[in-house]
Amino acid sequence: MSNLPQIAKTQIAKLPEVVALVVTDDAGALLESSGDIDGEALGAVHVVTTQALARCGDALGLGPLHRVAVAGPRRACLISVHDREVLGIYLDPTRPIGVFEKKLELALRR
Amino acid sequence: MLEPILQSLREVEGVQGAMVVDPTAVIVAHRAHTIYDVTVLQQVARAVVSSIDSVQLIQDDWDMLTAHFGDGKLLLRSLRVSGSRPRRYILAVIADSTLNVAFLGVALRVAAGKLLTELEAAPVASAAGSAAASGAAVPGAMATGTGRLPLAEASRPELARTGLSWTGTSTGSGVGSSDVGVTDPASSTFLSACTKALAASIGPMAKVFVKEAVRKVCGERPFSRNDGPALLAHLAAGIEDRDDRATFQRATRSL
Repeated sequence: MSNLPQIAKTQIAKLPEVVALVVTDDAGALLESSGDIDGEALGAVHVVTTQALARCGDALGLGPLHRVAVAGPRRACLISVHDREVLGIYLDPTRPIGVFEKKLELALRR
Repeated sequence: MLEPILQSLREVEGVQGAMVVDPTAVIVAHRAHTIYDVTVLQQVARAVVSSIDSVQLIQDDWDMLTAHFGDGKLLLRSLRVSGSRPRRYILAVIADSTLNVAFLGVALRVAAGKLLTELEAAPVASAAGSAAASGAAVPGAMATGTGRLPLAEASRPELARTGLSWTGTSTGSGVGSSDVGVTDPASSTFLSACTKALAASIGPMAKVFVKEAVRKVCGERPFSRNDGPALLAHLAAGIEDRDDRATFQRATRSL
């Protein structure tokens, strides 16, 4: 998805559940961020996380990694992998993450 | 007995395997389809611990992680054992694409409760040891990829607490532009150069580790150029691979 940073900024960041987001390339370089976060640092963490999970998927024969949802009492995070770009979205933890995942799929049409 | 609890998860449609992993990637117990032999599971355990090491940097109180793959899912649930020596295990569930996540959610909650009871009852050293004696545990080591800086257990919350509250400009050019205080522009430049040199060894996590090291070296006070040698020594000491450490030291010699 070549225009992921643009979609993230103009569409996804405007969704009511979204607290902050960051888009990086697959090497962790910052492409776009929105909200009160250190996009450079968190973006790198997202990439390293997805790389480790992709190794799990490879070992288990589960195919390519598409998405990671992390839930906790204080915050929720969704990391979505698109070719050579990684989108990390921080969400209001009081809202259901599953509903947002469907919205995100629609926004990204995947 | 952990295995019967894992077996109950295996009975959920779509679940292909389940295992409990300790923070050092030792498999404490497992029940999995025969295609997932011990070698594969050990490989997965190391990658799981590595991914959780990263997740804890941004969310130390995570409860559940769901990874969606093209042909299945991997679900990780945090098992926090309380008591005199609190510790954290990870319950990993491997599933194919037929899994109904809602159904698994119920089974997972029940299983997690039972596993915690069992793990809390077991002494720290023997949780893995007793399983090893019964042939269930697989010896393992920390997932230490080349040049990876191990995160001390105690250091994680410090970073994780900052999490979303990290401030700074998203397009900032260096560490100094973020929430690590610096005394002057030269100190900021030093941190940026230091991050770049470290990135050559450990990749994009370099900035995170530099921030953590600055907090360790300087505490609450802002970083100054005079703290440079102590910071470099701290970072170099954390690089396990000898060649990577030498590369980092060469790259920072002129700073």
